[in-house]
Amino acid sequence: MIHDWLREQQNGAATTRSTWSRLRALVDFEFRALFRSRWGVAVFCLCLFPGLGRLVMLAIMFGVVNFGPVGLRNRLQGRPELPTLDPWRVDFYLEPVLSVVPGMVFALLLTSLVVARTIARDRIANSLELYWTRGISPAGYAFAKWLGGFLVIALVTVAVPAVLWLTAAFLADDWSLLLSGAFDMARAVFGLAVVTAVWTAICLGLSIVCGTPNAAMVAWSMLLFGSTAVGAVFANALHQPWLRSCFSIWEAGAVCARAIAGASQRDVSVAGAAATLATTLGVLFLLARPRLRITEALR
Amino acid sequence: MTDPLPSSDAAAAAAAPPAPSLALEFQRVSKWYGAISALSDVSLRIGCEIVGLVGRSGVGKSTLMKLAVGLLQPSQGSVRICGIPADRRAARAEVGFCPDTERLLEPLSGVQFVAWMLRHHGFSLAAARDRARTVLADLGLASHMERPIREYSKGMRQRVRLAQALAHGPRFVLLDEPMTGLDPIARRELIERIRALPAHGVGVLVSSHVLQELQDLVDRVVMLHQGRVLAEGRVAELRDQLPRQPHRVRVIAADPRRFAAIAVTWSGVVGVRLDRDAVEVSIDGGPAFYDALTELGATWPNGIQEVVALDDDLASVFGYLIG
Repeated sequence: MIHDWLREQQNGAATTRSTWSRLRALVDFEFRALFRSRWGVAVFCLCLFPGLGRLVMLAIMFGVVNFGPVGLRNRLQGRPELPTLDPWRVDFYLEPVLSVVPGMVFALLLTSLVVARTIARDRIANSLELYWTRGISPAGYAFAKWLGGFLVIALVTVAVPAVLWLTAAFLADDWSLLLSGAFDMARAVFGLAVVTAVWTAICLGLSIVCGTPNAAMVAWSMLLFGSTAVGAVFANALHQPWLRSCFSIWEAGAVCARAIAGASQRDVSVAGAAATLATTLGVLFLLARPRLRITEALR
Repeated sequence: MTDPLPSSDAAAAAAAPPAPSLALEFQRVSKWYGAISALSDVSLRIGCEIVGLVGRSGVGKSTLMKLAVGLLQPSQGSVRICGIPADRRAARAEVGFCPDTERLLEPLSGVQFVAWMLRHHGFSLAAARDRARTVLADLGLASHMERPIREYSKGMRQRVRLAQALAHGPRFVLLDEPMTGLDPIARRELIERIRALPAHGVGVLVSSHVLQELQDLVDRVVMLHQGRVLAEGRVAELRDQLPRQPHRVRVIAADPRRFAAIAVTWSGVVGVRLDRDAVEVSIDGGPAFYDALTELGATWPNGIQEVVALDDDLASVFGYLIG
């Protein structure tokens, strides 16, 4: 019988560690969950493709590689009217993340796998009661799940643009990109982090509300695509393009991120977009809170 | 492994820190869900022993267990684990909970799952893995612990659940239907392991619908009915507290008809029913029947072949108590 040995070896570890050290196990688990399967690694690599595309563009623009049709470099560099193709502007780094295609499609794929399933999966496996008996509060649990998911998604939505910008700064002929664009890029990274956090929270809220992992994935897909479609219908029918950002969860996040980054955008309502995100978060919070109560979780 | 395991149980017991006298204490606990009373004025004390929790569905067993592991707050009264209020973090460290659930985190291996659960108690990754391996090996999963849980049989899953409940070295363990899905051999092994816990300063509360299992396992039982403790104690003691309820005894005799004719004349016998090769006798619980049976046995060589008490088991007692 090893029970006495276990108690001897405990050395007070269970009572002296901080709340954070307990939650870190959950954060670690969520962060690594995607990379435990080959499919997860494949999906993650797939989501890096838009960033890789931009990397290739940078390499062509700065003359690191020279391939493709003759004059491709000149053509890419000769479009100052398109800020999304100008590496000196933050739009270039925001575009692969915030565009509907490919940004939303890849983000949907990643968030569905990483965040949407997470709490519904624990509910199905009856793991919630095991967490609660270990002194992890429902709020701490939800926070750890959110943080773990956020860190994975931020690798694609925040880290990739930042790395792209650093690459561009390194490849540029002088330090002008670094010196002139650092502040704007810092704002852009902050904006991307904020909307990633909000999207992750919305997705997590759906995971709490939905009964099964698959239902949560479907609900998240329908919310993203559905709200974007409804926004498009209203904007076109009423000839008010800014309505897109007031209906579409994705557009609303993109508009807020661009606004924080100071990127160029027109026909949008930043206040409407922020209100859309805040309302969605608020509604999901109200729906999700009772679902994480101990009596509900154990039912 | 940071330190070698103790070489024997005796060495381990000698090295063990002193156990608190009370692992779990309910003091006049009531729990209401709105206007519905789930538990009413329940007082309960569990020391280093194994106590069975018996009751039909909906009588408050689940609420009692949630209160015992600190998942719920009592509406009235107090719940303490090793003297610490059950909702405190220090109390959580003293509790091991083995839930009645079929599914675990399927992609993880047994070691990963138990280690991961240990990390929620604040153990470092390395220490958690060491402990997980040690506990799983002790529970007989040494050769399977690195395989994914999805490949485990029911019995192996049950051992993983028990391992995660014991791995942090709790003083009080709550087992919800621990024998579910186990084959007879695994069941016997598990009963032996659970039976060993009180000797190491661990109090155990077991809930099971299979009363025969509980009878083999527990030192005493707590019977819940309609949110109240209906009875508490050892099964035999509880049976003896039912004097109005006739005991039933099955006697296999060489000549059942002759035995039935004799037995029906004895004082203390309230009924006799003749079966094909045996006689079922209802007695009033006093010693008169057994005295007469002993005398008869002495005068009738090989006439009385077997005497079996039919309703001294937990199921019968529970049945009598709740009517």
